[in-house]
Amino acid sequence: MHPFYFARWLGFLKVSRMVLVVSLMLAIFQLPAHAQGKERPLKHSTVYRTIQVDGLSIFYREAGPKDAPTLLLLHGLPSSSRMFDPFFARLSDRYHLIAPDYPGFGHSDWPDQNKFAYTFDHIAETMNHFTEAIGLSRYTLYVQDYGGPVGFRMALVNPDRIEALIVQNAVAHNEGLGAIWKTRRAFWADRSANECASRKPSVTRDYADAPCGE
Amino acid sequence: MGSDPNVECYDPDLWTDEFAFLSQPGQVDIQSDLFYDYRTNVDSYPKWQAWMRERQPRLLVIWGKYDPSFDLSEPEAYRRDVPNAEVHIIDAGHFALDTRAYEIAALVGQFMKRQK
Repeated sequence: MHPFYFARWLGFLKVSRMVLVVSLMLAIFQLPAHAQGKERPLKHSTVYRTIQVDGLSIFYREAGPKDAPTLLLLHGLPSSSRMFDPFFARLSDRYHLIAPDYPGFGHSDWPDQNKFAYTFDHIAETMNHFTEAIGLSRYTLYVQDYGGPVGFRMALVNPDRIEALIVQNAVAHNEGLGAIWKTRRAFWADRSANECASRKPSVTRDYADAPCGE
Repeated sequence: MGSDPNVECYDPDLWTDEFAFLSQPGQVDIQSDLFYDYRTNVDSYPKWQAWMRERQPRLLVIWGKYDPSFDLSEPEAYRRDVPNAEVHIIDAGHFALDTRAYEIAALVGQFMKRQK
């Protein structure tokens, strides 16, 4: 190649490489943040609030734009709204997140059993009233474990509020209850005879050697 | 945790906090009452299944496969009720968010986005 043309060719390469770099940078900045493999900066702080519902103080976590689609996050046992912390760090830029603690859990009130009947019907009713108290009319339900029985009851009472359903390790079919439920079913059949045996697996994780009985 | 081999992904503070919470006075009795009521869930399953079959809600099922309580046949059981359900079995336990939050948040984000 003639030196003159070679120099021009080099120059052209430099320019085209610059154009390439600049256009790549522009393209990257135009990509949605999650496609870049990075989290978007979260512009919404998580707030920790309580609200009075049916005479109880109900605690909840909330984040995200209020005009965005709402995810109502219903927790399992043994846990509370805290189990959803990882979502608050990842989804609150795009969605309105609400995670309440049920009565008897987390930072919500735990009235004595004589003052509050601890049943799934009752908790679902309180949670439906909670959504009304904070003005939620439409939401996607995310249910884990106990969230399933609470959430399905809420959905059956107010089906038109449900935009979509997300089930994570929550059961709605008899065959979903594995072998470990033999002891638990015995507890349901005869509570007083099986109270002690049922407490260990039902209220502790398997790492804990909980004492049996009072 | 169940049989989840990813033991190193669990923050031990979560366990100690939950254990401290459940050890508070009155908690065992409250949880025992509620767990006794769990039998009413089993009685209600046919009603919930009928609701899903009738309504065909948009449904995403995410299942941590190392769940010691719940059988691995359960996620597919949802598809019987809602044939269009999106089902993902993931490498996690009952509390899948403790160890696979990035994966679950991505699945939830994609599912929500398609809803708009």
